[in-house]
Amino acid sequence: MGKTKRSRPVTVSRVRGTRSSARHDPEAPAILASGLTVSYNGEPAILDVTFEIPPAHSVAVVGPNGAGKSTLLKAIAGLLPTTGGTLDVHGEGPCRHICIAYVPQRDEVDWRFPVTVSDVVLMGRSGRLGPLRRPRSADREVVARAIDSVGLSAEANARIDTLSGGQQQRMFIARALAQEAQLVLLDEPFAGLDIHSKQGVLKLLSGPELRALTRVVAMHDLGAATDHFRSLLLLHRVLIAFGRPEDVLTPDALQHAYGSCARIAKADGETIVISDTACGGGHDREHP
Amino acid sequence: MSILEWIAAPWGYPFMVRALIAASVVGLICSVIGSFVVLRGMAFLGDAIAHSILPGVALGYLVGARDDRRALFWWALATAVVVAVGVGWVSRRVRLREDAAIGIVFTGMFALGIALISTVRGFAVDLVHLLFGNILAVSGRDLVLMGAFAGVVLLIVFAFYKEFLLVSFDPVFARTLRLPTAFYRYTLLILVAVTVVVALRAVGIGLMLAMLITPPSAASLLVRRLPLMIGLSAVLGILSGVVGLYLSFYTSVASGAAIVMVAVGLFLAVLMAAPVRRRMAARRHRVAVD
Repeated sequence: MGKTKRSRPVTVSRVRGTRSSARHDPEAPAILASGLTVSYNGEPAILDVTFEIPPAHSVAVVGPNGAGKSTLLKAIAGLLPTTGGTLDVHGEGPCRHICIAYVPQRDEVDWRFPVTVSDVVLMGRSGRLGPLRRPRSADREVVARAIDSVGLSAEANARIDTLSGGQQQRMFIARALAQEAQLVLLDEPFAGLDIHSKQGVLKLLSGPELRALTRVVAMHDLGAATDHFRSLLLLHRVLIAFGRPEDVLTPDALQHAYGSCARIAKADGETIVISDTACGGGHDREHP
Repeated sequence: MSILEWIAAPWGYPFMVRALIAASVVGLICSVIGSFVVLRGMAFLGDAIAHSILPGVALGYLVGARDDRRALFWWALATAVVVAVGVGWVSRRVRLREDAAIGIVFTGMFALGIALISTVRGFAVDLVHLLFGNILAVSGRDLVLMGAFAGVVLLIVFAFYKEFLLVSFDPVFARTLRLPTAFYRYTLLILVAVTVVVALRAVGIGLMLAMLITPPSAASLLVRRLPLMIGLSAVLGILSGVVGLYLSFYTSVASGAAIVMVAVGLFLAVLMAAPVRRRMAARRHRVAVD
C-alpha cells in the first residue's frame, strides 16, 4: 500500500449531475440521534435511542439477535423512515446524503450476478457520475486505487461468486472508498468468516485507508469489538450503553442486554464475556 | 439439393425474407431485455405482461381495427404499457404474496381478452395467431414499426445501462446513492412491455416468455460479465429466430413453436457444454497459479 492519501471533499459534498444533495457539514457530528424510534410493521424495532458519534470514529453496534442493529444501520443509511425523534448525519437528515456507504449482510446480495469486482466497485462512482454519463479514466483510476487499498488487485477481474467471505467484504469496502463515502455502515460483516479473514477485515477497518471515515459496524463478537473499536453501542431495542468499551461492557449492562444468553465471568477485576451466543429469539434479520 | 441451395431457397420468397428479418429483430431485442428479466428474477412478471395485453388487443378488434394490423399494434402497445405499470404497482403494494397477486391479475386479464374475442365470429384463427404468433404474415410496414420500437428500446438500454445494472444488482445501494430506483424499475417494466409487443407477431403471447428468458439463461452459463452475457444472448436469440424459421420452412412446423424449440435446444446444448468449459477454465487457473 503506502499510497498517497485520497483527497476528500473537505467542505460540501459535490455531485456532478442535476440531483441536489444534502448540505453536508463536516464539523457536525457524523451521526446525531435523539429519541430515535424506528417501527417495523407497527412494532418499534428501536425505541427512544439517543447518541452522538463524532466524525472519523469507529463504533461497534452490539446486542443480541433482534436487538435492532440492522434497523439502526438502515435508518442511518436513510433506507428506513424514522417514526420518532430526530436523526442527523453531518447536520442533516440522512435521506439526501450520498456520502453514506451501506454494506448489507452477505445473504442479501445475489452473488451469482454476472459482474466482476471492478464492476461492483465502479458502481460506487454512479452517485457522482449522474445518469447518462459513462465512467471516465479518472473514475477507473479511483476504482483501481480503491481495489488496491483493500488488497484485492489480483481479484479485480474475478467474478464475485468466486470470492471468499472476507474478499466479499473487502470489495464492498472498496466500493465505499470509490464512492468517497464519509460514513461506512457494515451489517454483520464477520458473519460466517473464518478467523483469518475476520482479522484481515478488522485490520482494514482500523487501517490508514479508512481511518478518516466514520465506521459503524453491527457485530456479535464482543472481544473483537472491544479490541478494534473506539466505542461500543449496546443495543436491545433501547440503548443500554454507549461509550468506551470498558465502560459499556459492565456485568449489569450485559445482563440487561443478553439476559441468560451471555456467559459472564469476572477474573482479576476484569469482566470477561465468554460468548454472545446470539440467542435472544431467533433471527436478527429484520427483513424476511 | 446442395446445402447452398437449401440455405438460399427461403430467400426467394419475400414473405420469408420479411419473416427472417422480423425473427432477427425479435431475437435480438428479447435477448437484451430478457437478460435483465432473468437477472432481476422478473420471469413471471414478463409472462404476466405478455398475457395481460390480450384484452387490449381484443378491444381493438371489437372497435373495428380487425383488419388493420397496425392499429392492433398500437392497441397492444398501449395496453402493454398500462399493464406493465399496473403489474409493477400491484407487485409492490398489494398485501398478498407477490406471485399470487400477479397471477390473479394476469389470468383475469387473459380471460377477459378471450371472452372479448370470443364474441367475434370466427375468432379461433385470430386467437391462435395472437397466442402463438404468425411471423410469416409480417408486412413491410410491420417490419418498420417493429424495427423502430426495437431501436428505441435498445437505445434506452444503452443510455441507462449503468443505472439498470446498479438497480438490478443492488437496489439498496442504489437507494443510498439517492438514485430514483422506482423510476428505473418502471422504465425497465415498460421496456419489457414494448419488447413483448414487438415480439407478439413472431412468437405470440403463449411462447413469449421463452424468447425472453431462454437465450439469456444459456448465455449466463457461459460468460461472467453482463455485457458479454447480453451480447452472447443476442447471438443465441437471433440464431434461434433464423434457424427456427428454416426449420418451419422445411418441415411445416408452426414458426413460433419452431423458434422456441431451437432456443431451448441451444440452451440444452449449452447446459451440457458449460461444465466442460468450467473445468477447462479451472485447469487454466490452476496452471496459472502454479
